[in-house]
Amino acid sequence: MKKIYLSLILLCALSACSSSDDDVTKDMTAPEISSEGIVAVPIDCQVFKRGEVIPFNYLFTDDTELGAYNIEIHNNFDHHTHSTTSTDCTLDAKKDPVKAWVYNKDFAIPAGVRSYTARHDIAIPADIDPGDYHFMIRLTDRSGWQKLHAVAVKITE
Amino acid sequence: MKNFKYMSLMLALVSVISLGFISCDDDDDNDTAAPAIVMDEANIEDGFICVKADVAAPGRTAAIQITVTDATGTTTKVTKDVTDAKYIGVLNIDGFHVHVDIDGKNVAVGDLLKLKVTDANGKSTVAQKSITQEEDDDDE
Repeated sequence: MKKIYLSLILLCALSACSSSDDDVTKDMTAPEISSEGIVAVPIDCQVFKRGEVIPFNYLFTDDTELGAYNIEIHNNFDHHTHSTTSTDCTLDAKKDPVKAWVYNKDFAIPAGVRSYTARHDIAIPADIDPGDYHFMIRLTDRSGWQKLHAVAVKITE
Repeated sequence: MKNFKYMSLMLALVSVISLGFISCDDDDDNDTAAPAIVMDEANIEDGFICVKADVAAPGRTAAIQITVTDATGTTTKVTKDVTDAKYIGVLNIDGFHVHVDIDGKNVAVGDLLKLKVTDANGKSTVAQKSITQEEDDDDE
């Protein structure tokens, strides 16, 4: 009886850590930035006017939990590229910036969410340099995986 | 004699349980690899250096520092801590892109730009690139 009792204790002790819960919960997948089921704005080569609003609209999804996102806008007057930007848009001639638009803002996503439609009206200042810009969307999930989506847009007078 | 046997059995049991717990202790936090950095660009443009890189940090980024030194690496000309929320606490940065102000810092082509990424476990990696002038052609 004593042996059975001791064997049971031993079995319980070892089985308590026999399998790691981390294997089940470890997130190995980056979140997704998509236009599924919505009209995504902005998209590559889209043109906006100074003083107008960019009605930002994108769908974010993740298999476990979304975290936060950042929107950054910078000029592309030097015709640089990013890994995900389209190279098919017609670019203006290269030029030096005088008063280029710089926008950089972080946004939180409510906890526990796996799908989130991000919608903001981003006002384009009326006095910025017109020309080619990159609209960068950087989405991070709760585990720390990050996805970058860069969009090439043009801002006209 | 019965007592001795019982005590021996208990001692063996305690040893097995202890070893069992030690052997399956989760030490993932300390096993993560140090950050990996691929430097794409360190170009002088109009009064700043454009820095581009890709970073993988299995231990999550905790601190990012950019240092510009002379070509020999002995004299530091500029230091910048990158604290943007989008770059901290993440496992990967695709398209790290930062401008470093160098106005009046006497930075020249050939100087070294060092990018240091430290993760949440204290492991750090430094990547460096010789600073170049921004290219003027359309094929960059």
